[in-house]
Amino acid sequence: MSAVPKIQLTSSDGAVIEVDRPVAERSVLIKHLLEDLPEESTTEAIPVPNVNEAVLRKVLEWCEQHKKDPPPSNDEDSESRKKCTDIDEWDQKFMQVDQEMLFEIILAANYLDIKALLDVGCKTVANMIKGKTPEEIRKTFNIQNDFTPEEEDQIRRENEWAEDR
Amino acid sequence: MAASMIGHDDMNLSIFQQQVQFHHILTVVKLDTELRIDGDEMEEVLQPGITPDAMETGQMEAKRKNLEKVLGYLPMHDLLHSHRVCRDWRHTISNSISLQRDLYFAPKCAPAEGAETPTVNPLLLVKFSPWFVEHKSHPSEEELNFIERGRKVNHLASFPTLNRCQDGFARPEASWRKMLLSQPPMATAGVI
Repeated sequence: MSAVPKIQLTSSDGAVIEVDRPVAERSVLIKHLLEDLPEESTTEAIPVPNVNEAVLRKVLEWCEQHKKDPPPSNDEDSESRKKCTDIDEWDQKFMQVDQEMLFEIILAANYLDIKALLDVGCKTVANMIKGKTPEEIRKTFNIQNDFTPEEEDQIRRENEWAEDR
Repeated sequence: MAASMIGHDDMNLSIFQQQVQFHHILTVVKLDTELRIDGDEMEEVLQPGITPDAMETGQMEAKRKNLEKVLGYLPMHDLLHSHRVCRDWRHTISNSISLQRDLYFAPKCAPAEGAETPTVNPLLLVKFSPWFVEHKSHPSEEELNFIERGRKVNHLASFPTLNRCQDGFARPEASWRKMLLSQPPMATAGVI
C-alpha cells in the first residue's frame, strides 16, 4: 500500500502547512479544488487566503480527528436534528477556545465548506446564548445595545408574556 | 501577497480589538448594508483571484448566514428573546423565513406526504397549557371532561402562568397573538 499522499496549504499569513490529502479533503472546497487540478499541480501549495495559520492548524486538527467520519446524511433538515445542540466530547474540548478563535473557526469552516465543523461551531455559540437574558447575551459577546429605550421597551412588551417568572 | 490583505498584521489582541472582532461576527447587517452601497465600485476591483474586497463581501455574507444558523439552534423561548439583543439580531430574525417559522410567525409548508403530524407551538403549549388537549378524532371520556372543565374557565386569573404576568398576556401587541398554533398550520378547525 502506498503512502498517504500529502498536500501543502498556505495560510493567509504565509505559513505553509503539510497535511495528508484525505484530511484536507474534509474541506469540500479543497476537495473540489484538488479534483479539478491536474495531477502534477497538486505538489504546489494551495493558498487559503481567508484563514491565518493559527486557525488553519486548529481546523486541520479537527479534520484529522474526523477524517474517518462517514459522509453527512441528507436528513439534516429534519426537525429533531435541526434543534439538537448536543456536541460530542472531543468536539466540546476542541471548542474550548477564546471567543475570537471560536468565531474564526466558524468563518473558516464556512469558507472551506466543512459542514460538520460549521455545525459544531454554531451549536457551541448557540449553547452560549441559551438561557441568557438579552443583557447577559450582550455582555457575553460584547454586543452594543443600539436600541433606543423606547424601542427596547416596545420589544420587551411584545414578548413579556413569554418571560420566565 | 494575500497575507497582508487580511489585516491580521497586528497580533496584539487587546480587549478593544477583541470587541471589534466579536461585534463583527455577531452583528453584521449594518456592515453588510454599507458594503452594498459601494457595490458598483467593488466590481471594478474584482480580478481573477481573490481581492480583499471580494473576501470582505464574502465574509460579510458568511457572517450573516452564520448568525442565522446559530440562532436557528436556539429553542423558541431563547430565539424570541434574542430580538431584544440589538438591531442586527432583530433584523436577522425578522428577515429570516426559517427563523420566522421556528417562531411560528410564518407557516411551514405541509409535507408532501401529509403523513407527518403537526408540531404544536411549544411556547404556547407551556404558557397556555390548560387550553391544549391532545387531538384525537375520538376523545376518551376523561378527555371530554377535561375539555368541559376548560370551558368553565372563563377568566385569565384561573391560569397560574397567566396570573403572574397578566399584563404581558393582555397587551394588544403581545407577540403570542401573531403565532400559529402548530407547524404546519391547521387546515381545518372544528367545535366540540
